[in-house]
Amino acid sequence: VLIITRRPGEKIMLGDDVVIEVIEVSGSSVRVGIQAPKSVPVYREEIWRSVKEENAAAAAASPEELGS
Amino acid sequence: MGIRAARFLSLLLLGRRALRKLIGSLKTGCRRPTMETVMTLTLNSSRFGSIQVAQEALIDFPSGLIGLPSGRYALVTRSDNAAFRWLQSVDDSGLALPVADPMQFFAHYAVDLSDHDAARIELSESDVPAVYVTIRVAGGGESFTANLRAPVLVASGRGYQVINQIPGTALRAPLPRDPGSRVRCVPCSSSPGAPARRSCSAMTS
Repeated sequence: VLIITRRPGEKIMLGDDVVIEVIEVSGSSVRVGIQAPKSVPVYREEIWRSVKEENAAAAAASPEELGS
Repeated sequence: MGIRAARFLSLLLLGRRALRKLIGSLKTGCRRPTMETVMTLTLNSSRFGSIQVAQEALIDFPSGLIGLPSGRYALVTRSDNAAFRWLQSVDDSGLALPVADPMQFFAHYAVDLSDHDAARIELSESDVPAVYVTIRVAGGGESFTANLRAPVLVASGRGYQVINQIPGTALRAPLPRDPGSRVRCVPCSSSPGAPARRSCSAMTS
């Protein structure tokens, strides 16, 4: 894992197109701004993970179980 | 001109259903035999065997479903009155997800997109996407849940799984056992011109 220290207003580039900006740090939370090409989906990790698990569970079903 | 106006008027006087029928018959009447050639593709499914699908019925998922590879899928159904359909991957015969029309179970289901998702899927004003939700078998095969949190939108041959921004939409909403009973939805905020937002997550009737 690459670890970088940033201050509010400073940015990180992922490749040439994705910009992550630290907007505000307050207490234990950090506000982050993300600029990405519109073809790139952006998710909160926990939502991404839960939907990924849900998709995997859905894909494990058989037509017999569903009756269709 | 006179005849045209009269025909227009008579069309107006027809009932909507009759008009639709008429337009349907006009459309089929206009089709040239040479245009009838439909390119079909044979895809293999570990669940359903060999399936013939019209090329134009294929759905391209440029970013895949979440956690699944990008590629083309076909919506397949085993019988016309089946409650569920399957999104069958063209490239991976073993990959298929059961999906359903959420409105069939959740009468007031609505989807609110983030600005980024709205830009990503490039919906125009006239594009009304078809909405599907993935279905999961729960309770040891006794019941089903629908993922209302991350619906699949399909328009113009492209499909996207998006995150519904309406707060509280359930990742695993139990499907009502009795198709007649529907999930009650609580109206939330709505502004003039905007589609009514409703929360459909928690309350099952």
